[in-house]
Amino acid sequence: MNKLIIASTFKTPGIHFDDESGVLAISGRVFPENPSAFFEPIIAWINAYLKAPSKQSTLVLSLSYFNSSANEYLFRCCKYIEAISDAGNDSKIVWEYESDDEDMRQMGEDFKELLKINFEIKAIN
Amino acid sequence: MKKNSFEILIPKQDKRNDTLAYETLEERIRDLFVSISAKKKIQIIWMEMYQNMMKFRTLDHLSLFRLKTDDLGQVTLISINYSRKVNVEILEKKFFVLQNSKNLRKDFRMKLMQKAESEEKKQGDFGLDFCFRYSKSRKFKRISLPNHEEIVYLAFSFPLYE
Repeated sequence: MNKLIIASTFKTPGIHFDDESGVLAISGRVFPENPSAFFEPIIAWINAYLKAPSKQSTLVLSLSYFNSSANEYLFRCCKYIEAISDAGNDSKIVWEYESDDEDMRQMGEDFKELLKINFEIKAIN
Repeated sequence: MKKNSFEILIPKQDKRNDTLAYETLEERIRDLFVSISAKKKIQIIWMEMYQNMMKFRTLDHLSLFRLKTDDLGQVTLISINYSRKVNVEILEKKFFVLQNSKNLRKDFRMKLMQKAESEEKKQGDFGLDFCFRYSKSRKFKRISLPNHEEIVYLAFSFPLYE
C-alpha cells in the first residue's frame, strides 16, 4: 500500500495518509467544487487501509473550515476509523481547531457525540 | 479603505465559476473591518448561500448577494434570487423546519447520523443547516411573479462580538 499525499489548494485540504505510522491527516479548508470526486480516492484509500490497519491508527482533522457537503464525507472518514476501533484495533480521532474558533470546537463536539471512539478535541494556536 | 458593506452580482448560471465567486468574496472580505472569526463565519454562510442560489434559481439571470454590518454590531448576509415557485416552496419548507427547531445542534447531529447510516448515498441537504448553525437570526421572504416564478429573499445575521 502506498501513502496518499495530496497537496492543499485554495478549496481543498492537504491529505497525508501514512499506512505505516497509521497517521491519517487532513488539514486546511474543505470546500471542493465536486466533493464526490475529491473524496473518492480518499475513501478508496481508507477502505484499502481497513483491511490491514497499522497497530495504531489516528485520524487527525485539522480544519479551518469546511462546507456542508464536505461535512458528510469527513464524518464518513470518521466512521471508517470507528470501524477500525470496533474491530479491536487501537485507534483514535484528533480534532484540532484554532483556539479562538468556537464554531469549529462545537462541530468537533458534535462529531464526538456521534462516534464511539477515543476522540480528542484539541485547541491549537 | 476599509468598507463594511458590499454587493456581488452572481452571473448567469451558464457562466458559473465557483472559484471566481469565492475569490471575489475573499477579496471583499479582506477589506472588511471585522474580526478573523467573523470573516470565517461570513465565508461559511456565504458558501452555502451561493450553492443555494445556484441550486434554486432559474437558468438565465443574475442573483444578488449583499453583506452589511450595522451600528448594533451585527453582520447580515442577504441573497436575492429569482426562482421557480416549485423550488421556492421546497426552500421555504426546509427553512421553516429549521426555524422552528428547538435544538439546532441536536437536530443536526441526528440528521448527520441518519445520513451516515442510510444505504442511499445521496449527498447534500445540509446547506441551510450550516447557514442556521452559523447565524443567530434569519429571514425568508418570497414575492410572487407571473409565470410561476418568484423572488426569494434570504438573510442570515450574527453579532460581530459575542
